[in-house]
Amino acid sequence: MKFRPPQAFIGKAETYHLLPLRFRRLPWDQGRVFVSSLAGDWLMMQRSAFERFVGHDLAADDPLLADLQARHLLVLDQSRSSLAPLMSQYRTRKSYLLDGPALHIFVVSLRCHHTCSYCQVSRQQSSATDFDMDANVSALAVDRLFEWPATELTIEFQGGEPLLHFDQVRAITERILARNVTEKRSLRFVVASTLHDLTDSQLSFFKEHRFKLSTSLDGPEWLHNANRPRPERDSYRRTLEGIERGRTALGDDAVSALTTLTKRSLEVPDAIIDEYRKLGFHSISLRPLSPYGFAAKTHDRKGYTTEAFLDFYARALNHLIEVNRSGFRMEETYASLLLSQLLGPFAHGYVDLRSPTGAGFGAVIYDYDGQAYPSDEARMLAAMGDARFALGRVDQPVEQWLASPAMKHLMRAAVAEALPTCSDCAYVPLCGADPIDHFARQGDVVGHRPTSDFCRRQMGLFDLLLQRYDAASTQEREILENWALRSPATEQVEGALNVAA
Amino acid sequence: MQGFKIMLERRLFSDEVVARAAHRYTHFFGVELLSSDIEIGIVLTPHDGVQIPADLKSRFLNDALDERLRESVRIETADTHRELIQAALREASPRRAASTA
Repeated sequence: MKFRPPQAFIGKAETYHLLPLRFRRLPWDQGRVFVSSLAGDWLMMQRSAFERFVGHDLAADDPLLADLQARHLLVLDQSRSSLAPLMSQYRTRKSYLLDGPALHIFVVSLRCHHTCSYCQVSRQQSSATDFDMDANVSALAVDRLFEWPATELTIEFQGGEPLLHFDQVRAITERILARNVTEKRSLRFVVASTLHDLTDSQLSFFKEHRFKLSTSLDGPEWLHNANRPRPERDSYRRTLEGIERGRTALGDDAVSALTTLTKRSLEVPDAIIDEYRKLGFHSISLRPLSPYGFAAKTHDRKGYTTEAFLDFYARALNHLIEVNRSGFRMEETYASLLLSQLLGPFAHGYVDLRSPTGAGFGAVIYDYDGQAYPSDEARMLAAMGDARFALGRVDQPVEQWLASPAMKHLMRAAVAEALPTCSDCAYVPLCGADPIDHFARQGDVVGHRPTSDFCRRQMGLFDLLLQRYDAASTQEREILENWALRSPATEQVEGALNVAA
Repeated sequence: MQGFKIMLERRLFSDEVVARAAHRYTHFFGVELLSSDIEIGIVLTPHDGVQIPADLKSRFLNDALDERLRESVRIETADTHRELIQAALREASPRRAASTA
């Protein structure tokens, strides 16, 4: 048998067509680029090869072609190729579009016994019962909840301190459960609380209805007490007691904690992570300050630049990887979320990183006074005197909320892929639009990306994780991949991220 | 402070490419676009307190080359891009509108 030479089977690949793609020069290696497809598949390659690819100068036997085709960056022969897998992948990424809001936050009271200087909510004194949600408002809010189509609903109780108005937490939960006998939705309850003053009766109720508890723990005792002062200066001790009581009653996995980072926190990433490890937490959320509420008033004293946050985060990530290498499994929730987008095909439940925006499309907030908002940040802006993002009141049907001026205003800047600069960003298939954050920081829902803290933080974190992944050893890659792909944790991560305790 | 001028050959870079590249510098610089029949360019004037980096010209040229590549991709894929998204998200169209259509 005689075979023809290879040249008989190949030639210059004149017929390949580009598919929609975006690219970014790697900041740590200007000779290479990160290239992403419409649906967020990606690869890293030499920029010179990328230029040849875009210029249709790749030879048909170039091994890059197979990689590029597998990631839906080109199609070789349109008559024999299907784009269905790419569309399916895109639909999967955007599957949150089909369900409507799944996260429903009930603000049962603005009262709180803390006086945190970074508080992003307009808290009230613990005796100020005028700031409690009343029975009429809560009943109407539950009616609205079931007007949304989502088959899986997360109901989160928030404050202030929601346990200061526990009777309403109980009443709303029971009303939802009674209604759900016929609605048959899948329900998940979360309470965001300091966990101070938890009673046996409350714990028993939480256990019966499989509540998750989310609390705030800012790090070691000196840091936590400085950030979250109480008159008795015992916030740390009370928080630890609450965590322990919650774990004993509900199980270890039912209690999660979040860290809010002040300027002081940035100096001690290792100490914060070690505190969580000491307490047996397998996840930590390192959250930067928000530009709302009391945090806005104290920003000069407590705040910091995005660059300082990213520098902190890089040190924290290194320490976390070392902790994992030593045998203790522990993830950072936001890193897990971004890695799940980089390394996995699925949509996520985190409302602040969606396109179209999760505000109003992924989450709804029912405030204590009967006002409804598309996000917690919109509620905070209203508390600061700007109610432009208020959807309406709980005695109006949700159709009216969706047609409200607030939603029209949001929709102007809701799709990241259509925003200036974002539209060309290689990370945009994995990122989201946050028009309310841009309005709060820049006075405009569209915003200006070169000066956007949101954009710098997102780009910085994607770059950092990608660079770390690029240079990682096999063991380190496994650690990062575990953060991204362990599905039960991912669900918990999203829940934790959506909670603002 | 005096601005930093960079000129490019118009036959190599479109107005849009240069404008998109220049937009990336609006954090630290005031940007003025210049245009003639044979050249297009910019003047970057640093905001107060901003130092002009030594490699500013090469950075801008790299960005302009990248924007030129993006323009090529955009031209080739714009129609496919639109059709793919419309097809992929057809089921997300409002049901009510579909049923009355």
